[in-house]
Amino acid sequence: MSKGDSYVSFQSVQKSYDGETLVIKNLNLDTERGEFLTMLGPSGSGKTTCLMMLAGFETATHGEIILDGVPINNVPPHKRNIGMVFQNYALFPHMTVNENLAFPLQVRKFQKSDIEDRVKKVLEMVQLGAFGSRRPMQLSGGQQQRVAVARALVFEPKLVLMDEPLGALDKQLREQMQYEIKHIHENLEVTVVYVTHDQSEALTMSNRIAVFDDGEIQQLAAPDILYEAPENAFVAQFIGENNTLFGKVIEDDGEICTVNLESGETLKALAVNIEGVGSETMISLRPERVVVNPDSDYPNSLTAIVEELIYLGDHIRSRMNVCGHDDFIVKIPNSAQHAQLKPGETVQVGWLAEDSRALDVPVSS
Amino acid sequence: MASNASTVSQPLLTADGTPLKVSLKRSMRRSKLRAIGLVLPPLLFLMLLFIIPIGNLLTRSVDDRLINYQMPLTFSIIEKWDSQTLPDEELFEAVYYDLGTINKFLITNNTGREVNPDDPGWRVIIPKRGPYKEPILKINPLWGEVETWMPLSRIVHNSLEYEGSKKEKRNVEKRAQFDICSYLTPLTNAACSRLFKVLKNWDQQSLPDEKFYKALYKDLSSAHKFLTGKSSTRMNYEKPGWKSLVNKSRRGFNKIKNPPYKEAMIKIEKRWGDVNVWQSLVAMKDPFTSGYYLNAFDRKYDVDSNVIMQPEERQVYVMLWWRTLLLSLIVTIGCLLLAYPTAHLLATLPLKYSNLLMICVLMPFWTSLLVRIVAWMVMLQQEGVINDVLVSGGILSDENRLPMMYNFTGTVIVMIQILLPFMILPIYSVMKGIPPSYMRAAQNLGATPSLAFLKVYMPQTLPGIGAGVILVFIVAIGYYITPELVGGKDGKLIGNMVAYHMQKSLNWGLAAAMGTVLLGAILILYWVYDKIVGIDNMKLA
Repeated sequence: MSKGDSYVSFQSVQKSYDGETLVIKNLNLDTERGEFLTMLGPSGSGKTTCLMMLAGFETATHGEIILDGVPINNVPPHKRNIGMVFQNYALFPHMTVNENLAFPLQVRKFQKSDIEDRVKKVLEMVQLGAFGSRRPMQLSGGQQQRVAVARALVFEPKLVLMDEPLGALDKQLREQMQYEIKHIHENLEVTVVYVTHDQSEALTMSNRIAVFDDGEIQQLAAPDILYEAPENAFVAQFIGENNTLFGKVIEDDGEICTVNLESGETLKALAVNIEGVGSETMISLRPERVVVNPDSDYPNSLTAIVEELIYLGDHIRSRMNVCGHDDFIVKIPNSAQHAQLKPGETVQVGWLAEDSRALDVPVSS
Repeated sequence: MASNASTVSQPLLTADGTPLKVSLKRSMRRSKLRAIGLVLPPLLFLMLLFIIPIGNLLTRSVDDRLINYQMPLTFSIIEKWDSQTLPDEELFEAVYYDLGTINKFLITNNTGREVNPDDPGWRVIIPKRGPYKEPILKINPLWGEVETWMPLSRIVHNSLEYEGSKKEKRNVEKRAQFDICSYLTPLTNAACSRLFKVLKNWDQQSLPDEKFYKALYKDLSSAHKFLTGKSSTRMNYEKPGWKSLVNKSRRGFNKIKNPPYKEAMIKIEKRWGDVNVWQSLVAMKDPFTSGYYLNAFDRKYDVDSNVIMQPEERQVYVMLWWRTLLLSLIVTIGCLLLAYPTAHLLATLPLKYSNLLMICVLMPFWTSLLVRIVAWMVMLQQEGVINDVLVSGGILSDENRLPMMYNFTGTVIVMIQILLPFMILPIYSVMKGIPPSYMRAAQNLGATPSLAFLKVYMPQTLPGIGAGVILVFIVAIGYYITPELVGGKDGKLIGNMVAYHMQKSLNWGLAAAMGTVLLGAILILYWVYDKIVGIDNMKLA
C-alpha cells in the first residue's frame, strides 16, 4: 500500500501521559479509504489512546496524525468531522432519540426540514423508525447501541471511530450487532477504526486488524492471515486457541526447521520467527489441526494421554497430556467416524509441519 | 385448560392447603414488623418534637377563643346591634357583667351549657364580702349538688395519694391546683389554691358549706382577672386602647351599684361612648380569626368586615415580605453564580486537588456561625479590613468609606457566604455523576466546547441546580440570625419579626401567622418546582 492511498495515517506517533513512560511507542499505521480497521489488544495496550488521539481528545506527544492528507494535530475535536461511537454510547439523557440524532446537524446549521429527513433516514437505517420520541433511558441496550451508531453516522462523516461499542451487550445481541455494523460499513463506504479487546469481534468485522500490545503494533494483517499465520508468540496466543510446545532449534533449512523439545522429542515446524540454529523457540499449533491417531506418514507424531473430554456439539474438545504438559487441546470434529476416546487412554497425536509455526519465546514465559 | 379455569375461580392454595394470600401475608409479616420497628422511633420523634409543637403553634395564628371566653354574654347578643349608632342599655349591661363578674365560669364551663342570654344567672352579682353560697346557687343550682364538686375533689385526692419526697409531693399538689383551674376555666396557667385547701378536708358526702363557695368565688375571681389581662392584650391588637379601657373599667365597675349601666359606664370611661370601640368588638366575635394573617400583610377589617389597609404609620410587614423575597432571590442567584464553577472544579479536578477544595467548601460547616458572622463584621464595617485596604490603596477617600455592614448589602454578602455550601454540594453531586464522555461526544459531533457545555452539560446539571436553589431559597426566606446581627435597620427580614413577636411583644398569634405564611410560601414553591422540574429529578446529595 503506497502512502498516497492512505486516508488516516499515524506517522511515528508517540504518547506519554507522565513524561516517564511511553503509552504509545513509535506508532506507524495507515488506513485505506473505506477500510474497516480494528485495533485489537488487551486493556492497557494503548489502543484506546490511539483512538482518542485520532478523535482529538488526547494530543500526540510526538509525531503526526494525518487525516485525508491534512495533519490534524492542532485541529480541535469539533472541527475534525469524525463520527464516534463511545464505549457507553454517551447518548444525551436529557434529549429524545430524535434530538440526539439532530444534534450534530443543528450545530452544523442544517435546514430544519433537512434535519428531519436525515434523522428519519438514519433511524430507519438502524431499524428504529418508531422510537424517535423516546429518551435513551427508555431503550434497551441494543437499541441504545443502534442510536449511538446512527448518531455517529447522521452527519455523514468519512471516518467513524468505535470504542468497544458492543462491550455492554449480551453475547447474542453482540453477534447480531457485529453483522449490522459490518453491513452499514459496506453500504455507506465509510472508513471505520474500531477498538476492541474481543478477538472474535475483530475477526468477524474487520478488513484488517492491528494487534496492539505494550504500546506497539504486534501484527497488522487481514483476519485470516492473523489467525493462520501469526508472526509472533503474542499474536499466536492472543488470537484464537493455541497449543504451545517449547524447544530448541537444531536445524533450519530456511522454510522448515527441526526443533528438539525439552522432553526429547523432535518436531518439524514452519520457521517463521526464529533466531537461527540453537535458539529457543515456541511452536504454535491450532487445536483443530491436530489429528488423533494419524497415518504413519505424518512428520510430527507424539504420544498423548487423554485427560478430559468436553462434548460441545459440533466438536469434542479433548485436553491431553503431551510431553508432560497437560494443557494440550485437541478439537475432534463430531463426524461419523471420529475417534472414540476415553479419559486415561493413550493415543497418538500428529500434525503436518506446515500447520505448526516456530515463533519467538514470549517474554513472560 | 379445564383445570386451569377451575383454579382461577377458586383462591390459590399452597402445597399444604392454606390459601396463598394468607401464606404470603404470614411470610411478609416479619419483614413488615421489622420495617415498622425501624421507622417507628424517628416517626415518634418527629411527631412528638416537631409536628405536634409546630402544629400547636400554627393553630395560634387563627385561634381567637380567648375573647369568646371573656365576653360570652356580649357576643351572644351583639348581633342584634345595628353597628352604626351607639348600642343601647342591653349591650352595655352585657359588657358590664362579662368584664365585672365571674358568672360565666359558673354557668358555662363546668356544665358545658350553651350560652343563653336570658338565663337570669348572668345578671346575679355576688357581693364581694359574701355571703357567697346563695348567689352562686342562684347563678347555677348545680353547685349545690355533691356531684358537681366530685370531679374537683377527685383531682385533689389523686394528688394527695401521691407518694414521694416532700418536694415532689409539693409539686404534685401545686399541679393539682392548676388542674382544678383548667377544669373550671379555659385557663391553663392559673392556680386555684383556696379550692384545693377546702377540698382537701372534704369527706365527699356532706353538702358543701359557705367556705367552699367562698373559696370558689375567690379562686375564680383571680382567674377572671388573669383572663381579662390576657384577653385585653389580644383586644389591643384589634384596636389600640382596649387594654387600658378594660383595666380602667374594671376598677370603675365596682362603684356601679344599679342600672342603668350605659350612663354609668360612659361616665367612668368616656371611650364607651365611642361607636368605633363597639365596632371593633364585633370584629372579635368569631372564635377563629384571620386577623393575624391580615395583620401580617398590613391589613385589617373595617366595621363592615371589609379588608382595608392599616394606617400608614403602622404599615411594615408588606415591605418586609418584599424585602425578604428580594433578598432570598439575590442570595439564591449569588450562591448559584458562585457555586456552579466551584462545583464543576470539584467534580473535575484530580482527586488530591478536589479533596483540598472540598475541605475549603466544608470548612464553614465546621466553624461556628457566630464566629463567621463576626469575622465578616471585621471585614465589612466602615473601619474594617476592606474599607481600610480601599482607603490606603487610594481608591476611596477617607470620608467615603463604603457602608457594607448593618444594611441590606451586608446581609446579602454574609448570607451568600453562609449558604454557599448548600448550593455547592447538590450541584457537585450531580456533576460528579456526569461522565466526561458526554462533553466529548458533543464536541465530537461538532459542537464547540461552549455550545457543548450549554446544550449537553448544563441541562444535565439542572436537577442539582434545582435542589440547590430550593434549598438555599428555603433557608434564606426564613433566615434570622444573620440579619439580626449584621442587618441593621434595612437588613431586617420577616424572620426577625417572627422572633420579635415571639420574644418581645408576645403576640404569638401574629408570629404564628407569619410562620404559617412562610411555610405556605415554601410549600407553594415546592409544588411549582415539582410541576416544572419534578421532585424525582431533584438530587440533594
